[in-house]
Amino acid sequence: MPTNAIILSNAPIASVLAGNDISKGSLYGQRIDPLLDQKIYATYFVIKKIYDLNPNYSGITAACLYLWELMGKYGIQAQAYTGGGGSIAGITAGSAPLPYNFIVDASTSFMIDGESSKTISAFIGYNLLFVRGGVVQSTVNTESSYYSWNKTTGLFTCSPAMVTSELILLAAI
Amino acid sequence: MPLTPNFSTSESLSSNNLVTFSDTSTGDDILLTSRRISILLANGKWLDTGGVESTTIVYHTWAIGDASVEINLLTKSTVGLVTVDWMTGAVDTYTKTILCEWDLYDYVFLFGLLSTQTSYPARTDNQGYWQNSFKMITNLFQSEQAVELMDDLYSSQASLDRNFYMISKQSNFF
Repeated sequence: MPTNAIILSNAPIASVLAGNDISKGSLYGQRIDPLLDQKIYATYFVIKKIYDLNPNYSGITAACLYLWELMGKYGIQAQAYTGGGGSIAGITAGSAPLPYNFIVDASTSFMIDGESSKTISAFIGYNLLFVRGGVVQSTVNTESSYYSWNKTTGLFTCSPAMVTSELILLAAI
Repeated sequence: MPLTPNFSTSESLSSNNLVTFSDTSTGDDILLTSRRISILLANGKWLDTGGVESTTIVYHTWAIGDASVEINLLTKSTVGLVTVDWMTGAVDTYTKTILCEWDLYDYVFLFGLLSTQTSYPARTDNQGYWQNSFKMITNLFQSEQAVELMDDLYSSQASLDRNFYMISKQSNFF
């Protein structure tokens, strides 16, 4: 648990962050107490006054912990602003690995003539887009041409096997 | 160097009825013999010890040798127009008047509610509890702003009186 001082320094920010989420409403299906930002501020307002006068006032720690519970995830997020207890990493745009775009040949291309499977480690964790000769492929194996992809192991298979001169695109998405 | 009179007050957190007056004057006047304090309330009465209100002016003695004096003044959160006189014999040589607020009764009450909330959240975590807490806090805020920004004794005390009503009828509100 953070110290009382850290809780109190984070509370005003948590109130702002909670207010931001409340204003988003239920757009993303979240459930949030519409009074949460006010509750955080009201609780903070009282505790801060008492704490400033006597940080060891009877019951102050229980009150601060109660405030911390009220703040919930917004208390954690607030630490990114105050620096107390670490910080929240900023959200960075996803950067999928570069696609493999090649023409099949007998020896040097990413997949060579006659090859029908390949472990693509760089794509593990992603979904796969397979375009063959300019035609997007599917995983429906009742069709004449299809592929399979295991995003956990990175194993890619295709049918039929690669044929020299085919234009291939393998992209992580 | 003549005296530039000044003072400050503080309320005890552990005993909200006690107010300490501290002399923060600069300079010196060796002829001074005593100090006295008077406190005018919003209702036009004067505050005596124990929260008693008087229709005639009441002076609280403050010995000139004491840097501060603690007086049992309050029974509820109060705003008062405090005048301190620095006396030379019977002559009022210097005077300083400051609008002072002592509102810890309200804070301690709200903190008590909060302590109940920490022990029994289900008992008090309802809309009425929060709504009335917000109201009390808003009153406190208004009262403090009326003193700090507006120098308005009446508005400030009116805000505290709204809280006092809620405290005295607390079973109806919390």
